[in-house]
Amino acid sequence: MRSGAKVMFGCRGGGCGTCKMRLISGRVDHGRCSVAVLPETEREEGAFLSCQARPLSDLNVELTEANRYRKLINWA
Amino acid sequence: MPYRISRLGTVEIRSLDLDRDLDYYVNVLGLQLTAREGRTAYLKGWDERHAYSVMLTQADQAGMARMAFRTVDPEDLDYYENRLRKFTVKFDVIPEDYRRGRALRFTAPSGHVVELYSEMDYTGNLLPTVNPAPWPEGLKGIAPPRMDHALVTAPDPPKAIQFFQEVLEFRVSEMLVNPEGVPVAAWLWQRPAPHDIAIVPGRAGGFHHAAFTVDSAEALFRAADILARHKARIDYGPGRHGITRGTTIYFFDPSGNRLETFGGYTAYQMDPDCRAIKWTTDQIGPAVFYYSQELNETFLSVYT
Repeated sequence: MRSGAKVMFGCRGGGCGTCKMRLISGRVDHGRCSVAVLPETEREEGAFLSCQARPLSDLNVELTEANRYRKLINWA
Repeated sequence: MPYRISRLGTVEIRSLDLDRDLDYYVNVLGLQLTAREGRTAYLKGWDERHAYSVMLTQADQAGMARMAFRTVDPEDLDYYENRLRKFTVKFDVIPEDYRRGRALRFTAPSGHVVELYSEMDYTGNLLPTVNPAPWPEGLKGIAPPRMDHALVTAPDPPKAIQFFQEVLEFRVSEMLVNPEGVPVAAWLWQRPAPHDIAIVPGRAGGFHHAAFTVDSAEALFRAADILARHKARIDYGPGRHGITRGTTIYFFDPSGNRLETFGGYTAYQMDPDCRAIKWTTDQIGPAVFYYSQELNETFLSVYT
């Protein structure tokens, strides 16, 4: 955050999945998230929604394609 | 051709936490809670005459479970039943639902569960029907008088648009066309207003927003004040759409479903012979957000 890196987020309610990140190390409390955008299998692989999760330790995370840069849908 | 659908009657919105979200819908958005039955709460705007327009249902995901259009007369429901048969659309007859009569339920090519119904308990608005005042006292929050329209996403917009036009006989008020002349988004109406339902590209069954009427510029800015005071996530606005001319605020409920206060007071009224307005996709910026003249990052990518 201090580096000025931009993190995309959408609904801020755990519903849209835009702010999804991946945990490299550390633990989070996931909070209340839609299973449609954060299925249990993805949780087990370290995915979390950054608008809902609360860190329980220092975290090492990586951004995903979704929150790195949002491409607009091609209208053609 | 007379119009047969009087309005977008109901939407069922999924909630990740019904108690929390109900507090928001009642005290921030300011809908009237008319009943709570198990996992679903029934709400409506203060000027709506039927039993409810919004169902808020506890679920493990956000989004819209279904939307229902109310027909003008009971005979119109029979008319549509024949029409669904004619176009070989698979449908179920739902004998009754909460305070509602028979409905036809089918899945549109956009992936949305759509219902048509005619009869719902007429419970009246918050005003007397004899010598009423213009508005009720004691409203909370934004307190929109009524639900206005919904916008949904479809993986194949031309196919979905065609379905709503041909099978359900909606008309296009405005559309976005690509350089080949193909409509990639459309605003569709039956009630004499710019739209009852709109379709933009995106995932099957996606819920972009449900909109609620505000009656004046003052009410629109007051809505923004209320949302900010309650730390609601405002997505865009107050602003204006080029399409429909309506003024707008996009914001999210606590489960992440996008809602809109739509200032239909700036929009136009449709007549039966109105022809579709075209916007070209290179002008999508002013078409959607007239003042900023460009799309924000979330309009086409964030929905539930």
